[in-house]
Amino acid sequence: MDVQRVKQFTKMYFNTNHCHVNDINNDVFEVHLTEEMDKKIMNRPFYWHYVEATQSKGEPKTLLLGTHAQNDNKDIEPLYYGSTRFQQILKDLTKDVSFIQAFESVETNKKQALYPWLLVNIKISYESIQIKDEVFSLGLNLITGKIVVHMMEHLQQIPMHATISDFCYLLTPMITYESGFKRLEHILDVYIEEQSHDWAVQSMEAMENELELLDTFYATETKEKQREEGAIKERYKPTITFNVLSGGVIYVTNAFQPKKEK
Amino acid sequence: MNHIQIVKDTTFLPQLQNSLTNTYALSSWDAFNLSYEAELTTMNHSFDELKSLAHLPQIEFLPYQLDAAKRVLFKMDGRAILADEVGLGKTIEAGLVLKEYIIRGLVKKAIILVPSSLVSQWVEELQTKFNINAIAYRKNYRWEDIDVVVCSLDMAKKSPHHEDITNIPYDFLLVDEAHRLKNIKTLNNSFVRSIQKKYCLFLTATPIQNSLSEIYHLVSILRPGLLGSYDAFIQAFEDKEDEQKSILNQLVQQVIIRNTRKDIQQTTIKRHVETQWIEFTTEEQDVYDRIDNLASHLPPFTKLTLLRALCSSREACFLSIEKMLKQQDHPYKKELVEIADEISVLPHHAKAKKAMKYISSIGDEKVIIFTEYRATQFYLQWYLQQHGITSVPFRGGFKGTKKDWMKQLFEHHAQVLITTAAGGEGINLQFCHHLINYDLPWNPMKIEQRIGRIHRYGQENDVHITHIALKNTLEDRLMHILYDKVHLFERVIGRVDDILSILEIPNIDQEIQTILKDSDSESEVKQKLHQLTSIIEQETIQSEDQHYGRSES
Repeated sequence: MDVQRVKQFTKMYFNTNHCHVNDINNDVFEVHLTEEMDKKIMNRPFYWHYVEATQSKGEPKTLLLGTHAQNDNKDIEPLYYGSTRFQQILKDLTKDVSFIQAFESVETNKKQALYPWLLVNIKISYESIQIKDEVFSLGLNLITGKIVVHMMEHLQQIPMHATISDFCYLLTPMITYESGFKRLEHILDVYIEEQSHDWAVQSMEAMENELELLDTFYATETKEKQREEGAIKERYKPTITFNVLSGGVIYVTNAFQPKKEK
Repeated sequence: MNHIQIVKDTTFLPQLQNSLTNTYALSSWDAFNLSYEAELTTMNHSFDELKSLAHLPQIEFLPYQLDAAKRVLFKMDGRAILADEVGLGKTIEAGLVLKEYIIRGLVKKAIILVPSSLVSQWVEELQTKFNINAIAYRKNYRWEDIDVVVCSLDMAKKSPHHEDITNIPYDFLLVDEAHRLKNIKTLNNSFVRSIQKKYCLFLTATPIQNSLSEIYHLVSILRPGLLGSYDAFIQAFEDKEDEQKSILNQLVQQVIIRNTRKDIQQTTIKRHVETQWIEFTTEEQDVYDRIDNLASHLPPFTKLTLLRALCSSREACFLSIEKMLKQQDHPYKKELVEIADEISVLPHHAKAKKAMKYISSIGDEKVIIFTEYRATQFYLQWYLQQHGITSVPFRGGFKGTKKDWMKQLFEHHAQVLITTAAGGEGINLQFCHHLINYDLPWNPMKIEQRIGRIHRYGQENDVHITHIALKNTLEDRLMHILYDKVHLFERVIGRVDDILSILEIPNIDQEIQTILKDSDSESEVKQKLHQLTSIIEQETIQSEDQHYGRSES
């Protein structure tokens, strides 16, 4: 993310959390926190505890954020990708699984059917002594069973809304969420099956090597040796983890026909 | 494939059903998109790239530091001894490794054991440089509550901390000054061995001090068995010939990273140093001598200040006088006013002409001019401009943006940068290959810092250093005594500061000035300076011995 995107992203984050954002100048902007956000990100539980105890009205803080790395003004918090504040924001956004229900917004005066799609954004982590992730955004048409990859990118092309547009009605899914999720998971299983996984092979080799070294080091089977063995296996053990980041049900018109790609 | 454990996500489905019925738990479409983007930007795109660099734009890592961190992370599986020579930035390398692990989500709990005098320094470095929320251990803290804890080894190894710590599965252990673990019979060693750790870094500048067994024990904590059994190791390598030694070297290289100054100094890029001797014009020399002969009327320090300023520019000298005259009823007012009058009618400074000549002799090439005086800086800028040469001024006090901007101007729009800042200012000017020392600082180390601005990583051409010095002035003396005869500074740059603090000489500039002003004769000056340099030299050799112990091979 470049500086501009970090700034834009931060503003959007506060906006979606109902905080007012004002530009002070080209670099600096202020954020009027809501009480809820103050409690969430400002880390001053004693103050809020005091407010509650005295039944007074608390005053949420106003943040001053500046994108220029070296601000001399101590009141302005530096905002850049690695800054504490921005990392806090990313952490907040990623700590829980997000769920969504959204509808394509349609301007029409005729009856219009909306098709239900299951959306699953999933991260696959390959971990041994090091780690690598892949993120897949998968969509499954709960009527036809059609599967789409890069679902988020496709959805970002169409206007979405939290409520159904006038004249639109929802088709009832033929496929249950459970079975839909299983189908998507199966695709990923096959994908993983087809890969060569050199990383895991190398990791196992390294593990063997370390275990052999242990044998030369400890003349006898001691407790300490067993402990070391356990630790080595733990370190080098290759694991693939599926982690659903976010997902939900999206209703779109029949015009949503992204080409299948893989 | 058979050995890979696969862990599926089993919580998503029930949660999905739940949140679709309780719609208050749903995100807005905007928030949903933000969180997806947040996931994409935080994911680990590959096994072996440094993600942390994007987080740390304010740190300028040197290439060998990046190499060291990458080797630890991606080649040595996170278990290594960082053994760079003092002053090359082991802490920076270690901080980068830890940061990378944290960002990748591989390290959550880390423990950093250091000498007690360094605890707060480590905390400060990790917090301010790396944005790592490191916390110094204090009484009554619960060890398991702190994710990244810094503590003195001496405290940690004592009960009840000892037991508490060894019960926690740490992801990352770092021990600074790790040569303190080299003796297997000590509590230090057994304590650190018993800590549960995934990744582990030892920092020491002296991996081997006295015997081979030291390195054996250190390596054995990291990679037990890498050097075989103890008996076999000693038999194979102690007092053995070079061939064996090289085998040992190879083995040890799997776990030790050691950069030395010699290794990283650029060998291919040459440094051409030249002193251009010039003379004052008669008028200038007259004024100079006049100040010099006022000895009986002026206090020695005043005299020294004025002479030195005059060697730089009329303006510098003039301003110095003006400053002195601001004191009410200056006892030498009459003399000073007279000198000021004489200065005001002097022609252009002999040095300025020389510098001009040099600049025009090198075509369009960029030049940095270092001066000690702001007044000279202004004068030179004006003088060069009169001859159609563009220049930008630079000062140590410039703020970040202005600094960058001046650098940009110099790189793209001007031929000359005139600066009063010595170095260590975080500005790299490798695109420039010529440097003029317009006047000489009292402290010869400053010269090295100045040269370091251009003679550094990224420099692709030989660098040309020119001192301009005036004959028959105090510069003559400085040059001969400090710069020509005393080469010691060339050898020990970087550690001279340490040595000075051992000797309790807080400021070498002042020391030299004091010698110059308190001495009655040339020979006394020489003698005192010789004394000073020999003390420093001796201390240097001693401290080098302490630092590196017996030579390693």
